[in-house]
Amino acid sequence: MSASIAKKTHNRLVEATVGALWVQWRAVGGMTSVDRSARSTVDPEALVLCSLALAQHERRLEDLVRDWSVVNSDLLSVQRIKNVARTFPSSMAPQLATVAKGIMRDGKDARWRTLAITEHRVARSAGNPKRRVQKATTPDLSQPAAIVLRLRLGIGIGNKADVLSFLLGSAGRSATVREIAAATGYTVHALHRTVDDLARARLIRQTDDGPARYGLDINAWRALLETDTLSEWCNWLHVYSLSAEFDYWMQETRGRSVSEYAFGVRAREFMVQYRDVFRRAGVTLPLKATSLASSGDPGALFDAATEQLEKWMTERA
Amino acid sequence: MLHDSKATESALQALGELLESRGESFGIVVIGGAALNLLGIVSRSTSDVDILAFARERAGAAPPILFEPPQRMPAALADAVEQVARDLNLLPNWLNIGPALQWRQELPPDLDRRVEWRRFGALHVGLASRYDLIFFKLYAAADSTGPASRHFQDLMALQPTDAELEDAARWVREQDVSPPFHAVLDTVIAHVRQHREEDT
Repeated sequence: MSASIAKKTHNRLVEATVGALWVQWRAVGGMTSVDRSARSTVDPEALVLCSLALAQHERRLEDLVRDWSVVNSDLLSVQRIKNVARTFPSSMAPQLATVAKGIMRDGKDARWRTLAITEHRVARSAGNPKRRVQKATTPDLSQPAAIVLRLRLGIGIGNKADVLSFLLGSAGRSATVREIAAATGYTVHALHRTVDDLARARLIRQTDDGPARYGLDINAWRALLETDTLSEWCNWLHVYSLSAEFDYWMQETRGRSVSEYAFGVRAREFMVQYRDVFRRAGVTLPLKATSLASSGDPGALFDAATEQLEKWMTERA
Repeated sequence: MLHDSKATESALQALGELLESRGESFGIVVIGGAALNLLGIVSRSTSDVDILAFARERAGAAPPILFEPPQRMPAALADAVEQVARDLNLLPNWLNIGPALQWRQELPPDLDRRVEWRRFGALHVGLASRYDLIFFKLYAAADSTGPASRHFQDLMALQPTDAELEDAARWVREQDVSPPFHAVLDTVIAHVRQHREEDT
């Protein structure tokens, strides 16, 4: 795969991701010019992190994150953002620290102290206390896509609200603890107690099969939430993580010569690591993890896979 | 298996390209069968590429400084070696630092000045010269099982002159001072001279 094709793949993925971000920001109270509703559940921490990671391509995203976070910090999980930040490039740690400082100063939310401390130098522009918050409001929690925030407001910040959001977005399918953990970014260990509590409270049901699976009564929850529509959980955390990591790799290798072989190695690593993301987008990847020989042309495969992913993102965001 | 010099070059090129994409670079000096292949002295298969030394480039035209490899290969290099091994179906340790044990004694004098350098992406590969390979192969031949050994065959392929054999023998005697070893060494040298005459 030549450098120009890699660049084209990158540009296409970034554009699709930024487009999805704007749609989702609108769904949770961000002021954007997007004129359609989000079609799937917004993962708020993934939305924040990916917006920061791609802010160099769309500067307004960083402003929006700062403003929205100040207004709505009580709807974000500090613990979760720390957990899932590990799946994003470490290069955005200073930006996250800047956001955390702003939340502490302007949002008066001391929970963000540990994130505001970083060995990285924080940009001065983050520290203007007179800057008026103008790019965000509180979200309209009746929007189906804002279900995570709605449940956090009602139940409290923590993994219970997020587990319920995931199950509500699974179209009635049950899931194991491991599957819930993979989708939500919480650890299996943390979730065992949570699902047991929710099952004992009869908010979710546990199947008698082994291993245990958990689901809920969709119709009962629709009635409780007074909605006919439950938006789909689309694992945006992993989709955004892929976009951010690929973008970071392209930035990092900008000054270097990257041969077709070297790009193929990295492309295959991405496809193996994010195999589930591509599978959800309808891409079947005939890959063995370890052998280039059995991967065909991984660069071309990756290009085709991201093209399909781009279409999926446009449809599902 | 690295079947010939072309296969060796392909493996080193893939390695160098991978290192370059990862922002890493290394300089190494190679001896053994791989060096003989790349210098065009022999054309035979070899299972691995032996690193004698690592190298650090200097400014200007001065040759790189050679230094003893660490006990373990640097992680960035080891990781890339393993990746190339999987991709090209090579042994996991197709590039290894086994010969670095020679540093515990000494290298042939002024070896660094005779190294022939080649670049493969971000991998700078130095090939020990024909003259220095005679030293190493004489030592290995004296330590092996006789004229049928690969080392002896390689030594013959190097076509050492009498002067080169004397220089090499002097160095080899310093690496192992035991009289029985010196007797074996003399036998090997006699064999080389005899086979050399038979070939002419």
